[in-house]
Amino acid sequence: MNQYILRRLLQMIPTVLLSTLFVFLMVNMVRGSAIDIYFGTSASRSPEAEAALAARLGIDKPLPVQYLTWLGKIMTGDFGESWRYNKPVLALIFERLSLSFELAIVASLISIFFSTLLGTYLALHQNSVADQVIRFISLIFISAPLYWVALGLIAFLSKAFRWIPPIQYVPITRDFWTHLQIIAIPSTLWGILSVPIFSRYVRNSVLDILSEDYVRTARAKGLSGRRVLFVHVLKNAAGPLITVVGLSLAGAAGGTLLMEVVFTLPGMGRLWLTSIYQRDLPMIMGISVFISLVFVVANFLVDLCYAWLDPRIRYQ
Amino acid sequence: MKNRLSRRDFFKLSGSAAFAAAAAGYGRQLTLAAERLAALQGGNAVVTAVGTEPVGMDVCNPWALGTAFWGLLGLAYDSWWSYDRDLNVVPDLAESWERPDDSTVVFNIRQGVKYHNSNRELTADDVVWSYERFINEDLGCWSLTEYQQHVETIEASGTHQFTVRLKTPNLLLTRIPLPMAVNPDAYANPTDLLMQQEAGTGPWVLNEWETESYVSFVRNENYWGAVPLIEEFRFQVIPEEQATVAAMRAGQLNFLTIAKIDNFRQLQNESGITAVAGPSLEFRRVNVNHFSENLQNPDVLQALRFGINRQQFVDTLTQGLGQVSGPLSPAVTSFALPQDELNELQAYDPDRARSLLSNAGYNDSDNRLRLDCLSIAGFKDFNDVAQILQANLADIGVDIEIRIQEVGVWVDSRVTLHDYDLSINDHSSGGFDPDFTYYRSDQAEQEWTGGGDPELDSLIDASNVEEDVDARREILQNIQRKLIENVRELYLYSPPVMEAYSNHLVGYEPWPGSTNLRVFDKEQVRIE
Repeated sequence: MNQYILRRLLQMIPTVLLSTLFVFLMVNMVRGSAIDIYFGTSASRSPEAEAALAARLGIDKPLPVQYLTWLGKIMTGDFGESWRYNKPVLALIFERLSLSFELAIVASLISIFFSTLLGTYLALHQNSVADQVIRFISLIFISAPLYWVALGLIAFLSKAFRWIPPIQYVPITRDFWTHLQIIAIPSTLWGILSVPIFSRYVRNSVLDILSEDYVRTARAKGLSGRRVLFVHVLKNAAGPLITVVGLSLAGAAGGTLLMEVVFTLPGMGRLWLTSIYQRDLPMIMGISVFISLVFVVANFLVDLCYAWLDPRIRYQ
Repeated sequence: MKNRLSRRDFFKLSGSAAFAAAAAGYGRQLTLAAERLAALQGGNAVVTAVGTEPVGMDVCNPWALGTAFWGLLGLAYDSWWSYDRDLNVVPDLAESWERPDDSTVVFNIRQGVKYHNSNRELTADDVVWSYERFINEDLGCWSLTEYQQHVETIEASGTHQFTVRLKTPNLLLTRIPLPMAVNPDAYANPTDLLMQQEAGTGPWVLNEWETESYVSFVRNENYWGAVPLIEEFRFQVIPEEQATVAAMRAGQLNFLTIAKIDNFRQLQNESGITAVAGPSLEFRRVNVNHFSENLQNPDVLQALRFGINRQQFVDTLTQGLGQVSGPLSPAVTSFALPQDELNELQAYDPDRARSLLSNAGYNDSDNRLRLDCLSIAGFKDFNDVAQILQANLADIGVDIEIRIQEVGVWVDSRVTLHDYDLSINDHSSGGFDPDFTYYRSDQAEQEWTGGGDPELDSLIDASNVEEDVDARREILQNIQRKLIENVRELYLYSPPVMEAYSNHLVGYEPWPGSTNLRVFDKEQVRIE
């Protein structure tokens, strides 16, 4: 197992590097450079000014040199400075990462709880009227665009209650109550809207487990329905849900963009999007490294969870 | 006998506790909401929203693809002169000025003006330092070409006096590019750019800047002019305008400039909020790429000119609050073409348009003209404008393919590749004394679009030096006629400037033509 863990950790390095190379190439292939963003259609745009800016930003060098220079700095922990904000890239990322993860974790906990309840209920009452109705309603929720629902909710709250979550972000360390108000609605909304999808995984998984021989055996032994469900069924049905939730948590590293835009949260999503629009290369590359790392680590942790849940799975 | 808590009882208790906590939390939320509302109303801050975060606070900063930049800049930095409500030029940082001859203007700087967070007093040497920075080609400051065209030198002629020697004799005061007063001590290097800091003398001092969250200014207690009665000016970064409307209703904002008519209408009916719309200096236009092979035939250009129903834009996109516009917004009443002449020059005449296209060899059945039109994703109402244009021109036999581009790609298309026929754009005269220098042949914009007309250049140069208002009006109107008749661009409509503000902002009156944040200090707006 230790060898397996070491091997997986070593494999992460080329994975992350390859993804950053891919991002670097894509950003440089996209039309509209940092120079275009900087000058726009300003009349003062001249070849001299463009050359001076390119030299200042280091983009006058060939692409391989730019990438290798960046790579060399990353190896020493220097992620560089944002061209737009003139601030260290790492500092900007860390400012936002905690908010994005917080949103994702709270949303995931809400989602796991209700998905498990709902999915299990639907599996235990398969093909009942309730099952059909709830699955139909879930389809509506799955189809509803998150952005539209969030905007509609904001409009409703402001109209009906003259209240919306505070628009000025306050970190948890500064004011717990205000912070709670800020993240409660976006994370709850996100969590609730994920329930229809996750509950289907749980339902299908529970249905598969319920038809297993060992479940029949447990019932035949006289174990209570509750014990069969919690000890024998749910534990084994957790695998697919963990995979989906784990990867969705990893996705939060890229930010919960739609929530951030509607609820004016300064998260990773908006930072990443703005950096791409501004062609802020150090920022784009820095965030890409982070997201790649989070994904590979999340994948790895999900695999370890599998092994913990199911003793039959042993990695070598 | 079981004396442990059963699982059912545990869940019952947990559920009740959770419900109680939620109810308490909700009650607390309402209390806090009420407190916050009272704080905003009883407090002393103007809280408004911007859709995109200003990039920086450097006066030279060309990272200016966003409107928030200019508004914020004007809070921290003074200008040398300004307009009053009657649109007369009045002294500001410059106490007075003289013109000893045609090519010289001497400015006298107010004495005792101190920079923010510093004891350093503004002197003429600082002005020269700032000027040398503005003309540094490597920096590419936004007004570089104006200096290159009009200014010979700017020199200090006294501790509180600087002299501008002009290349263009008799250049109107409002055309003279003047470097903003900045504190040189704030720069390690003149080629540095101040991003989240400023070095001005204005009535508002930059206080806090939380990236992608908010920017806050506090009043300058040592301001040389009228110290604002309001203590703080805060700009919340809110990308989605619908969210700003909700925030306004919830009392979390007390001032707002609105771009979309639907959002404006929502706030018109809200109690405690005043929503006003007025003519604006801004107008929508369509760039014409004169390099395009599809647009070489003059009949095609004229067909486009007469094939657009401009009133439809006004009715659909502004619900009648806007106005049909030419190359100058109708809000500039002194110099814009009279509306009836404008309507004649830009008449909607689809039959005439079809006839012109037929002359050019096209028809509206099997040989329709195909053009493409660029728009910028998510920028104002550009996509809506493109769609109406597409529908109008389809009627006369022109099929428009709308290409919605991200802003960086749009710049690349317009400046470098020229791979388009038409592009939605906007413009603003910037003030009530319009400057058409932008249309001169030697300006970059004409280089990118294949424009330029020596006759037009002469008119533009004449307009920059003609002091007599009636004569200048004649010249400016001739410029507008030429731009329309030669289809330099296609001019569409002027949207209204729409603002909403809390009734607790006492003394606020919208500024004509655009939102002017300096109203809050100059006119001593207060919160009650």
